Parts: sequence; structure tokens; C-alpha cells
Amino acid sequence: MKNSLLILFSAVAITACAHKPAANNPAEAGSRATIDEVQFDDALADHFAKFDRDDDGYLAADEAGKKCIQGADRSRDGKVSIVEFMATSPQRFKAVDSKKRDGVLQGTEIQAALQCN
Amino acid sequence: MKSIFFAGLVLFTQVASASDGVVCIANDAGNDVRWTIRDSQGELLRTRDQRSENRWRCQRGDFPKAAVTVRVSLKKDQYSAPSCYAQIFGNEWVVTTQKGSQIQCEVRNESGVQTSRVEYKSILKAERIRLFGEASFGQAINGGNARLVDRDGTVFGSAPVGSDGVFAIPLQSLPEDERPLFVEIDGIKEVPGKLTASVPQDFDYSIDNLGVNLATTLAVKSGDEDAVKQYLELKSFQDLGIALTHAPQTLFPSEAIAAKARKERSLDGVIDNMIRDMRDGQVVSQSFAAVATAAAPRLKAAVPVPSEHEIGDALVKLVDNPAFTAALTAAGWKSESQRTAESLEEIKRQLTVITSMLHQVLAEQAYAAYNVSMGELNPIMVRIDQSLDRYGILMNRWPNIVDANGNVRPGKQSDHKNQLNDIADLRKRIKDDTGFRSFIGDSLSRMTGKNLEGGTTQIGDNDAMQRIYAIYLLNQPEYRAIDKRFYQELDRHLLRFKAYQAKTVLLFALAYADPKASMVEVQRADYTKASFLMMNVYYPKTAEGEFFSMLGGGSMLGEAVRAGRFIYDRDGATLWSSVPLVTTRRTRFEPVSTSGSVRLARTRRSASMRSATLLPVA
Repeated sequence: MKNSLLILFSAVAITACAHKPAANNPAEAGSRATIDEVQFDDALADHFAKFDRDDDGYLAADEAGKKCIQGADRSRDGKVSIVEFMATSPQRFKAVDSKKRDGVLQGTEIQAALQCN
Repeated sequence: MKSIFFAGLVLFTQVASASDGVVCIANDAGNDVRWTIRDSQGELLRTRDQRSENRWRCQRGDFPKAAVTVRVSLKKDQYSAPSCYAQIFGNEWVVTTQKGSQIQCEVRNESGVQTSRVEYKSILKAERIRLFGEASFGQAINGGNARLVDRDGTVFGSAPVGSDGVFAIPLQSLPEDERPLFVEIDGIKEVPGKLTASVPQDFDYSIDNLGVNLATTLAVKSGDEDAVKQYLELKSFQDLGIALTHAPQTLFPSEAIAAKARKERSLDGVIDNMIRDMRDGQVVSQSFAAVATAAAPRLKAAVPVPSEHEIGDALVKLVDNPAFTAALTAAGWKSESQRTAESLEEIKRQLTVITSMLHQVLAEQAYAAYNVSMGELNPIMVRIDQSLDRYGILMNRWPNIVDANGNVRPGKQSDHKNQLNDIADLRKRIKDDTGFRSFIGDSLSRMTGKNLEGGTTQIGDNDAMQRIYAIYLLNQPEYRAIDKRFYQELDRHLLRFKAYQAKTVLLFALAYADPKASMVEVQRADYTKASFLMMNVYYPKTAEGEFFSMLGGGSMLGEAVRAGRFIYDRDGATLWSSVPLVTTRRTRFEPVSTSGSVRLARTRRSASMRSATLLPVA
């Protein structure tokens, strides 16, 4: 039961923005591969591409969820451009890496850093 | 599972600071593209291949300061066909598409508005592209002619070979098809015949370098590179162009083979014999057993690795210095109510002492840090980074905090307590971490190849930096030699490593440079303002061939490099340096240039190292 609840909570947390890591992302593979900040940039760019369904270079609320938009929309135009999205990369990385400060993300850490709930 | 749950709660509410910028490239061309970013001075900041399936790739940087030039080419046809050249600022992006066989680009700003700053030029016409290479025949070739040719002998450029075996063939044209190209070198003194090497299909003329030597000649003549590697007892992933150019004589008797060719006045005959032996299943040590034995090793003695950790102990002593403790205590125990102008002056004085001491410690740390993995290193460097930044900020703000009479200006506060807490924390960390203590001693000793005494690192040892680099690179478990694959993979390591490299130079300068020396344009108290940090000429040299084109240009950087210095250009966030580094064998840490002269050629390694000289933005 306890496990089921955890799974439920986790599922809610992970899907809050309907985000999943890109297919070639170590996070999705569930591997123990680590990625550094530069590789995380690439993962985040792939993540953007995955949800930018109309390929216009912007994420709208219906593509990424309101929380994602609010967190990155510097221009306050209600959508997030690729550069706005990528500008959040260092903060995403550091937020997850702040405890260990080992300069790399691994598995669930990558998933967490890609989310924007 | 718990970790997933908690990780899911991480909030991202901050956005990048105003000084950060991102440029992104969208690849809608349907083909792989290659792009470069150059700063306003034309210096290469980044080159990257972007596969067709990766729609977006971005580069962060301090771009809003000045426009950068982005060049995007279809990778398969990048030199002769028009490429996009766009001046863009941070927070803009380039969308590439393909119309017919030509690449098309659009620049869009953050609002999605399309600008019209794209030009289409062929790389060969827009840039002075040269094929850089290094020829060796036992030792660097002095003289001869290098030509870029196809199999039919059509010449696409030629140039003389310089004194260090270096050549730079200017390219006016390249074939539009993907026919194989070769570099041939003939006219070599006392050696009739030609050395040759094939130009790899993915050769990047703007950054790569081609080694031409016996091994590459064997590969071209036999048409079987794998067999040549077996014959030469090289690993399959090693690059022939590099493998022999800098291989120690004890590992490959290239000098002996060259001597034989000179004696017999027939390079072709020697090569033919080697190919015959190769096809008979022999290895080179069998072919040249007698010669190899006769060849005198040119290597220096192996570097002794001491078992004791004098430096580590000395460093701990340093942080245990009573003066340090006294300064810390004197400065740190001021209550808020005591923070009068007088106490501030005292704090300032004490902070100067502490900062000075800490810089010394930090420099030792950073110096040692070359030899540890990023995982171990990162927490330390983060701490160093924070500390240095805070000191810089504190010192730079000091005049704004206190007036000429030492009184605190209205509304200003000193955050000295945080600084002191940081110092204490760092000190405790160093003191308590026995593992850290060990690796400092071990690393420094290995870097310098000496049993260091009294905790004083001999930074003036020119070989030290070369060893540092070699040890760091070769200690990566997946690489036992510097080869092509290494460099392909190295880029991502370097993106992080370069930060440490530059930071270390900064620390060196702060901690060791004589502030009274005319060439040192930095004061400890205001290092964040300094444009250049220059090391004395007898300080370690690091790799870089970027100044090839600057020779005679009379620029400050060119002059410095010519003199064998390295420089950290804060404005450009670039570390400039001179001599190529790194060795080819894990067990030998030899300077690339045994003569000790400044080698101005770009080698493949220096081409890769070039990216290491650029700081990522904070």
C-alpha cells in the first residue's frame, strides 16, 4: 500500500507538466549514466523539441502546461521561446545538483531537472 | 521511488540573469549541419555538429555584450557551397532549412521577429582556410613541400614545410564531390620519396590538423589502416597522424626507420619492405628489431612518484597557521554593534590577510585539482568559485561601503560575516578531509615530478603544466592515449574543464604572481576588474596554437604568446596560451616539443585544446 502511494505520488509529480525526458535521454533509459551541465543543455533542448508540437520555437500553455510557462516566460507574452526555455537550464541543473554538488545528474535527478512543476 | 517523489517537488522559479544569453540553432535542414560561433574579434568560441534528428542545440554565453557570428553549413558540403553567416545577439536563434542543395537561414529574436542579418558565402571565400599539418620523419621535418592533391594528382593547394615540420596550405578551392584527398610531402632533405596522409572525410579544416608521417604513408600505400595499426602495435582507436608524430622512440623506432631510409636513400624501399612484413603478419618491432635496439631512447627518466604527501601536510599547516586563525578570530568575532568605522577598517585589514592566505590555499587546491575527477573536484571548485567571487565583490565594493574617512556610507552594509563563515567552513573542510589532503600531496608531486618541500609548489617548472594536462586527460579511464576518438569525446569534458583551467590560472596569478612585476596587471583586491592576468614567462606554458595567424600582427595577445606566456582575458572570457601540450602515452609525460621551443603549429590536440581555452560563462 505504501509503495502504491509512493508510486501514485511520483506519477503525479512527474506528469505534472506532462513532461517526459527525450527518448535518447539517460533519464528515460533508467540507466546510471550521468550527464554534466553541457549534456543537460542538450537534453533540455530535446525536451523542448518534443513538446513544441508545431515547431514554432515556442512552448504554449497547451503544449507544456501553465507552470512551465510561468517559470520561464521572461517576456510575459504567455509563451516560452527556446531561448527563454534554455535560459532556465543552469537553474534547473543547480536546483537538483545543489545537494550533492557533484556537477552531474543521474537517473531521477535528470527527470527532476527536466520537469518544471 | 522516494527520490523520484522528492525530486518531483523541485521548483524552478528563477530565470537567467540579464548578463546571460543563449543562442540556439534549429536544424530543419533535413541534414546534419555544422555550426560555429565566433566572437566579435573573430575568435572561435564553439564549433559543433548538429544531427538532423536534433532539432535544437543551444549555446549559453555572455552574448548580450556583443554580437557573435554564427556560421551554419550543411556538413556534407560545407566549404565550397554557401554557408549562412549571421550576426546575432544572445537570446536570438537561427532556423536553418534547405532549399534545393543550399542551406537557408533565418534569425529570430526573442519575440519571434525575423531579422535580415544573414549572408551566404562559401567558407573558402569568406574565411582564409588553410590546411594545417605537421610532418615528421623520425623527428620533425625541416623543409620540403606539402601539397593537397586528389588521387589523380590534381593540386588544390601547396605550401612549404616549416622548421618544425609545420605546414599551412592555403585553400582556394576544394572538389565539390567527396573524392578522397591526400597531403603529400616531398623534397625532404636527404630522403628521396614522399610522405603522405589521407585527409579524413570529417576533417574540419578550420580546427583540425593533419599529421603526416611514416604510419600515415604506410596506410595510404597499403590501403589498410587497420593492418598498419596492427603492424605498428597501435590500438585500433589511435590516430595514425598523431601516434607516430609524438611517439617516444622506445615505443616506435621511427627515428631508426628514418635513418635507414636516409642511409639507403630510398623511403619507398623502406615503406615497401614494411608493407611486405605487415602482410606477412609481422609487427614493426620484428621488422626493426636490431635497429630499434640500437636506437637510443631520447626520453627523460620516468617521473618519480613519491609516496609521501609533503604538500598535503604543508597545506594543512598553512591553514593551521596561527596568523590565519588570529586574523579569522579578530575579524569574525565583531558583533553587529561593534561594527564601527574603526572595526570595519580592522576587518578590512584582517580580511586582506585572510584573503591572501586563502588565495594561497585555493591556488594549491586548484593546482592539485587538475588531477582529480570532475566528481571529486566539483564541490571544491564550487567553493573556490564562490569564495573568490565574494572576495572580489567585497573588495571591489569596499570603497562604496566606506567613505574616505572609513565611515560606513548610509544604506551600505558589509557582508563580511558571510565571508568569514565561508572561510572558516572551507578551512574546516580542508583540514578535516584526509582524502583531500592526500590527493593534494600526491597530485602536486606527480604534476611537478618532484618531492616538494615546505609546501612551496614550484610553479615555475615549465613541464608541470604539461604534466598536469597529460595526467588529467590520460587518467580518464576510457582513454589511454590521445587519439581522434578522444578528441571527439573530449569536447564535453573540456567545456567543464576549461573553467577549472582558467580559474586555476586566475588563482595562480592571484597567489603567485608578483604584483610589482610590470606584466602583471592584476591586484588581488580588484581582480574582478582586471582585463588581463598574465603569467611571467617562466611560469607554466599551456597548449594553444591559435596565435598562428597572429604572428606579426603585433597584438598584445600575440606578443604574449610569442613570449611563451599565457593570459586570461577576462573581457573575452578566454584563456590564451602557447605551446601544445599533452603526450601520447600514459606512462610518459614528455613535452610535445622536446626542444622546448614554442611550437606554433596547431596540432590536432591543440585544435581540441583550443576549445579548452574558452571560459564558459558563469
